Amino acid sequence: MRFIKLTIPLLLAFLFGLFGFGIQYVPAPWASDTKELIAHWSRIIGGVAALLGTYSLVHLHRARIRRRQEGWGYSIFFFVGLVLMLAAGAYNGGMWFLSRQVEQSVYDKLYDALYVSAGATMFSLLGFYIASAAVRTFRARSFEATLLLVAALIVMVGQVPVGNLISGYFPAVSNWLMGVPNVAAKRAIMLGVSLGALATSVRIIFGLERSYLGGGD
Amino acid sequence: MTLRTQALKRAAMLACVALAFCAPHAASLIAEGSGPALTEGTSGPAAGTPIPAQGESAPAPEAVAIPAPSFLIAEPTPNDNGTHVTVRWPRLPADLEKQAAKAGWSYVVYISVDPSWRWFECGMTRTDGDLVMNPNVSPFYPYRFSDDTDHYFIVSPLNVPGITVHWLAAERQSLDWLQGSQAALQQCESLLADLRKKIAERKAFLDEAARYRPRWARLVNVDDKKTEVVAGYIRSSESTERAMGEAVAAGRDGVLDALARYLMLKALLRAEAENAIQSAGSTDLGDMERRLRNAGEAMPTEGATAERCDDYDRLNYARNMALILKAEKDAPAPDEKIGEEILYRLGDMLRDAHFPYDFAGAPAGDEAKEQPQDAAFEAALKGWHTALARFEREPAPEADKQWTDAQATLDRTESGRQAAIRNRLGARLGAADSSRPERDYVRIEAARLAPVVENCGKRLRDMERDDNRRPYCFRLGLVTPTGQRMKPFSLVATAAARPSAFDVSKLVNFIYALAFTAAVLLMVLYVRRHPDVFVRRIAGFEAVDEAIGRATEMGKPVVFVHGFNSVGDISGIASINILGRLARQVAAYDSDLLVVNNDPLVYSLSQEVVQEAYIEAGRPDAYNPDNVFMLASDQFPYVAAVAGIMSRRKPAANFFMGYFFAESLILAEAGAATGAIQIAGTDSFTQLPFFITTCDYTLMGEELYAASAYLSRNAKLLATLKAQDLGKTVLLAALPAGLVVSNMGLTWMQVVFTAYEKSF
Repeated sequence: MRFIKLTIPLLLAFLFGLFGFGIQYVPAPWASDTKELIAHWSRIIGGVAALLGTYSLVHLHRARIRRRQEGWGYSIFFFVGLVLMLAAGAYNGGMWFLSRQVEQSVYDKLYDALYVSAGATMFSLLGFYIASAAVRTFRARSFEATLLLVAALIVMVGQVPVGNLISGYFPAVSNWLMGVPNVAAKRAIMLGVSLGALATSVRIIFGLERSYLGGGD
Repeated sequence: MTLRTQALKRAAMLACVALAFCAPHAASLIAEGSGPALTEGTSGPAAGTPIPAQGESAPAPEAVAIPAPSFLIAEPTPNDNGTHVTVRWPRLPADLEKQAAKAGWSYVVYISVDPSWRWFECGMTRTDGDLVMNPNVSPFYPYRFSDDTDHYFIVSPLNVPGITVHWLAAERQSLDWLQGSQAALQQCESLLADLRKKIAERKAFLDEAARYRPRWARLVNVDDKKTEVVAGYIRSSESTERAMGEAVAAGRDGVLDALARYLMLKALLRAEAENAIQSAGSTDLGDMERRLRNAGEAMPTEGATAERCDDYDRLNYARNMALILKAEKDAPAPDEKIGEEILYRLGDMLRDAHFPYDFAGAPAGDEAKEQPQDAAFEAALKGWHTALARFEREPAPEADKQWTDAQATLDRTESGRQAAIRNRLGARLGAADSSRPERDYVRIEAARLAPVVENCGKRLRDMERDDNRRPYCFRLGLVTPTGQRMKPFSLVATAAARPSAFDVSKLVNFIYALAFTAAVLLMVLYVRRHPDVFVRRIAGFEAVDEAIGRATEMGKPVVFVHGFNSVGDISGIASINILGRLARQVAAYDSDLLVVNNDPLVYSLSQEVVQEAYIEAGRPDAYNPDNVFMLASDQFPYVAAVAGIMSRRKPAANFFMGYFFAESLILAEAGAATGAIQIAGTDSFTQLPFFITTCDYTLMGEELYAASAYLSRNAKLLATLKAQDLGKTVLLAALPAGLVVSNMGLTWMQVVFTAYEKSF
């Protein structure tokens, strides 16, 4: 059992990890073909896993309705949406689901009119959240927070046309803040992230890290 | 398009005619001399003849004596995937180089598939550095006389549009069409024979069945009710009958495909031939032969220009096309039309196969007549060729636009024509018996031509692959400041593109990766002997216990939110590692853990990891699979669902781990509104400010990857953090050192830290 649950996955991780590392340095077409093949496999596995995800969703909302949990009424909308979109997708403007997707079918209309609009509504909340986060962040309670507040004000004023009218220094200082200290910090984080990603890869390839398999070290 | 029938004999004869005229064409170029005698081989010494300062018919450019190159080397481009060839030649002396650049001389490189064949201009550069982009020139890096870099450029066989639009290409393409149409015709015949055999087998089967089951043989005479009875009677043979029918249908499909291919290739060939003859300005074969002879005699002249060679090619091509058309016209007794004959025969056979009873004959004649779509297609094809020829002569914006318009028209008419062909085939085979129920006759699917197109695509890919494998020959020539091509240098270099086994340009990258891996493994060995590893305190991790303890005390759940990453992403794996550690602690504290997912694969893995963690903590009974669930795979539905869960369940602690996008702030704000302790970890530096603003603790960048090691306190994992620190130390030391070294004018450090640089 240990062999199946631990040794084989670790061996596969080792072999595929080394192979994936190695073919990055091989420009021959077979290497790119193999990468493409592996990507196909991933997509197929992902497609099967999508069924599991759908099952999980159905199970979750069914349980909510059955147990009359708080907000269970919303779960009814999940089933309505699921059935409606499945039916519209299967109907496919009268061509049914074995044909290529028909443009501007009921499915497209539902997607554009309901789904996209609802998504845009959620996205628009971000504007309000940014304002509320900014208010909280820019409280000058410490030296660092004050520095942040000043820098943010300069950048904000420098980014709008009126900043240039007030003083030509605003856009210049704003550009300097964005182009020098900001980029330096970003690069420092990126360097750390790259080394961290490399270390994590080595840990997984050589079987040092096993928690992604479940169980202990 | 009227389709003329021809027997196999005639097809073979046509192929011979075409081949006979194409082969001598190549030979004639050698004999008549499109340039100087060529030296085969990779490279060789200069012929010793300085290049004349001006072309025969060119206006006198500034006289700059540019010597012939002492070598010309062509070789597979290193670090390449087998699609490029690099050509090199020596630099000119510095003063001469400047002089030539000032006067406006350029090099031009010619490419050919065979030294004895026609040479094509595949690249030219000017002294202003702009690549001359005419249809015969492939895009590659410019060579400049005044450039400081080495003299080389790269030719991609894949990107040589000149070959595909030139007369040589036209000739080869026409030959392909001719041979293709003949092959398709042969395939039609062969498939028809096969179909005939299958139909005969079917008939034999029916006859045999009729001996023992007479009612079956009289199937057509029974009414609907009796049909059912009879069908029950013959059920034992139903599968055999169906299999036989399917075999016949498959044979029919093959014939239709081959026929469609034949129709298309034939139309292309005919339009091409008529266009070539028209462009030659004469339809008289004798006149063409005379002009061709005169052009050939003019070819060996010293300094013959590429335009003159083009004239010769054009005439030769038109002559060959005219011969093909003449051979078609003179063929014995072309009294039957190929398309019609095959259609009729196919119709008869299908009728026999599918309607073994009286059959109303198909309407004759109308569908076989020339269709307006065919005429439109031919006109569009002709227009396209004309526009292309104009653009080749004078590459100007108007000509380019005209060519683009002609292309659009061609595309449009071709699709209309294909639809018409489909309709015609369908009408011929299906509409003949429209009074019968649909199930009784064969339906021609609308997508019947699709396999032809797919095969064409595959064939094109195969051709590209073959083109990349074949050796190409290169020569170097000069272009005068007025644009005249001089006679090329005599050196010929040959090379085929070859994929490299190792990309040396990534060597630095490879070495660093190996060095870092070695550092990690050495650190692991070191830690085995010295297990006391110091790792700096990370506040976010220290707060984990506090957050889980708080959740336990309050009797509220802990929510773990995955970022938008899959299991293939490092941040996804890191967040799953953290989840495993976290779940173990939650299980030990006997609290609830809700894990929300947006990726089905991460969801499956999370379930496994959490379950194992509970088992390991000795509380398998406490694991509730319903607490690990999938919410939505899209960004904002996921946000809405997570925010809803947070507002309803009021969790005591929220963990946001992984790579986040715009949803980070909405999630964290929704969590903050519930008063939960929030710990975030992300390697997305654009979202870090939002988490820092809204969460109590934030793991920044690499800390996300360190989490698993930090939480486990496993010495081997902590050793990898030490290796990371070592890497950072090297980088920290390299930054000021690089600053100093670069300011001293030394570039070696840039080279050492240039991880990846493609040479083209």
